[in-house]
Amino acid sequence: MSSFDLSHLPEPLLEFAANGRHIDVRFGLTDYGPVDFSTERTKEIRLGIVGSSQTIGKLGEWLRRCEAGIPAKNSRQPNLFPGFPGSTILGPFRCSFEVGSRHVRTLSQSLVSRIVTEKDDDTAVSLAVEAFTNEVKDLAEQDQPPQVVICALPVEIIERVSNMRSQPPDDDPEEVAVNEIEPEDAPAVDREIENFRGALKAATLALRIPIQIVWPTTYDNDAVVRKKLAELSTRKVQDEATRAWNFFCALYYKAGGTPWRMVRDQREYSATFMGVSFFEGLDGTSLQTSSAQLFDERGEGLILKGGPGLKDKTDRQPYLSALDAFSLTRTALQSYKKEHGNYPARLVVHKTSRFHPEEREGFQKAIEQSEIEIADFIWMPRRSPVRLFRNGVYPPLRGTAMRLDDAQTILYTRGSVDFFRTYPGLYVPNPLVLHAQRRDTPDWNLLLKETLALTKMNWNGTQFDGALPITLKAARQVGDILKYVPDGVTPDPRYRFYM
Amino acid sequence: MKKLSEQQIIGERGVHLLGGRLLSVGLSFQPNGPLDAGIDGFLELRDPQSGEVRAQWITAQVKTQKEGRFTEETDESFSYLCRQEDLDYWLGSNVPVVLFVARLSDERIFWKALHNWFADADHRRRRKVVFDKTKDALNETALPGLAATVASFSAPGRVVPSTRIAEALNSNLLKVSFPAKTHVAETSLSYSEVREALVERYQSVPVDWILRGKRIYSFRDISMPPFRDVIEEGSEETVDTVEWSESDGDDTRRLFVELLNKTLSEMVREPLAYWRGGRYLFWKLGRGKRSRGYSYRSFEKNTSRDVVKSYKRKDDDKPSYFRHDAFHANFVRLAGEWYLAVEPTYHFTSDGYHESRYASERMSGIKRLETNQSVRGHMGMWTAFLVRQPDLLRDDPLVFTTVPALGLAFGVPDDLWRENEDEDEKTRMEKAQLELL
Repeated sequence: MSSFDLSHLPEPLLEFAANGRHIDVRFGLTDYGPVDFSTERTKEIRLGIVGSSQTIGKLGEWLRRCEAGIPAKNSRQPNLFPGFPGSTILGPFRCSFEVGSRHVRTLSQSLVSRIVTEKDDDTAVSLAVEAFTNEVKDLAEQDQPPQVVICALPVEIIERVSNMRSQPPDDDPEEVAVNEIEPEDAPAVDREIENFRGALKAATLALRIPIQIVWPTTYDNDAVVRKKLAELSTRKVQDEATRAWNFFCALYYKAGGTPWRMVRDQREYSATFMGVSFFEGLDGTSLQTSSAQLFDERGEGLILKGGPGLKDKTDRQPYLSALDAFSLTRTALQSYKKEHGNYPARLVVHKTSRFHPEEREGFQKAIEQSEIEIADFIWMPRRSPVRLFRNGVYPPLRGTAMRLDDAQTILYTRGSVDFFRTYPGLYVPNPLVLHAQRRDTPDWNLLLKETLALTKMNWNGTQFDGALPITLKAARQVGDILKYVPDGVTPDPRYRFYM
Repeated sequence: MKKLSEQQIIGERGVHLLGGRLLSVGLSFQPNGPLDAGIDGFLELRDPQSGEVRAQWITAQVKTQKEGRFTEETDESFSYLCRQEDLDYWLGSNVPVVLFVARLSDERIFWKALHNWFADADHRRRRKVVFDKTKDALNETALPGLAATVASFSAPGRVVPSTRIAEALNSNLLKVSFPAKTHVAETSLSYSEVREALVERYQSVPVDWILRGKRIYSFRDISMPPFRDVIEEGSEETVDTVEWSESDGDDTRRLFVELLNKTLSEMVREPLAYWRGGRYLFWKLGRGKRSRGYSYRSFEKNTSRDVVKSYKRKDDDKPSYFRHDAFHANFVRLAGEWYLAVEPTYHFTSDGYHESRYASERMSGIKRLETNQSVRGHMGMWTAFLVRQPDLLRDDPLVFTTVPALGLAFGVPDDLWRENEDEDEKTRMEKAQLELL
């Protein structure tokens, strides 16, 4: 009889300015400021806005309102719902967010009506993409272009390009739901808005300015997006302070800032983390393309498009040929070297499907050629068969781990959070399974610790208990955009263009 | 002549009793000096495992009684009336003040965080503290409460020592044992031909077999009817099951899992049915019935559960849909042993068998409602169902045994947290309790 051991990992610390450390993103930023903050220059982030006269007006009002800060929601959980201290130099990002008058572009009412009244769905989506892309392009060609362009979608356009069943917050449609719900009970994915978002991001990639798509529900408490289908969701719009936190954090990262980074032990080898995933092409056939998401501890993300995926005959999981696995990894590592001047000492590969023997061969060869001696190949299946239950209404604590055997461990990345004094999620959480198919790191604890820390490297949200490590979380966002990038075009490798 | 009063001695003994108790649970305690004006000492939060301290203080006021009953003492509670000047002093503190009430005769100590208690205007007006003798007892389980006192008093964002309450967690794993021998026989028929031949001769066709190549495998003796007629005569033999179960080949492993699944389906075919679309087993509803109950011994007690439940429309007596308890069976090999990982789920039907048109909406609805406790309860039912008592009349090919609960030094103070939830969340928790247990 084997015995399974439970353990608990403490919440990993994040590093902020001047070596300040905190487990929580929002309190860390408030107390210390972003990790790349320096007093030598007073920073100003130049924002551009594209929208209708109405969305531009309302968004502008809200941006001004945020300067002074948004008070915390009235709650007995102050660690979960802190107020937003403000978007000025005195705020958590220690910089100001400015919209220059030359950087505001209004879509004419006639253009908006043309999109809205267009009968054909595909044409409507492409018209909308074109309308926004043209304005972003104009802004990009200015002498001093904005660093991030906010695309403030008017309600009419959202309703036209979507067939909404649920209401996604901001730029990150149904993030929570996708990570937490099983396929059979996931809400019908809203393909149209995904198409619009993906196509718009893909179309603006070449312009080299990251965009932030924002819905009126973020900045206008009275905004209502009509839904075409009956909605059963009990999901509520987040409180205003949380919306402000997430919005400005995404803007800061997209503008080139580094809000926080992982705390790494000096004694550990410098490591980089690569996620490998597959996405379906535009033509809707099951043809799959691979992509790699490479993240270092500083939070720099590199995105690469790889070769086609093959399907295993027996378990139908996608995998790469040895040659494609080799060149994807090789290119990823070379890009890393260009950034850092050297190869990492250790490479950790995360993958949602099994490492196929052919694929492994390709990965190993690329790793050997880059003279990397330590590698860990971790397969994280979409769902864990093994779960744990406490005797109480709250699920097990985030950080609870159960070693199944030498090769497998489950880890609760969503769960009860001591710091929040609650379980900040819907649905009974499912743990992650880490299935090591190659493990050069002798200590499981280190692998778990890093995985937990990687769940906090999500600049789209400021609540730290992400379900998936960024390597895998980025995969879906990236696939939705890369599928619009034509073959033969090398897409911008910087993650900030994809989130 | 100088004197020390009896009450001074009693007070000092109370302070010593408190200090000893706090030190024994790993907190530090500094008694105050001679300049005490209503605060007897300071305790500092400390992480009992790492020993880490972060200058997080609580001030302590001890009221000590030698013996006898406290004011208004019952089996559950007692009260303490504060003087207005004490109250003003305590509530003006820049650190949380905890009132400890100690009784020397039985060495019991109770505690209350005063700023929390007196946040209520009515309490403040009456100046009375009511102690709950269970919840407010000072022992190891009070530690999370003391940490919460600091967290709620100071500015948000303070990281206090994490909650350490020893807990036992249950997993959804059941250990599986299976026969040492697997029966094999040659056949010239295809899978559907075997099935057809069996249906022709027997109405109820067993499902606990698989076909690979031209061979039938099963844990049952296939030289006997009904299989006797579909196999090549004389080809039957047995093989050691370990050849499959310990194989490292993915292909063989998959076939073995298929055999386990089929064997399980056969064992439970009377009360449960398999739903191919969702790949789960669910409770059948008897003909003409509207619900089905199941009584069993759960983790702590005898209980019962509606394993099939009907839901009616408003103003209509006819059931509009049924909810059936169901589970996905995942056979997994861990550390060289086989386990069944039970994943509880639900099957929604319009008529007791066929899936309801609104099944996916109902599923999202119930998943939003469920709490950890509801799923644990559901799991408890399946455990009781699958872990059968030995029965001489029955020879189960698969035998499931429970995996003992696992201990963890970190837990969750449910009651403490629940108090801070907003009303919607409290309602959901209560509803889940009523609906799903």
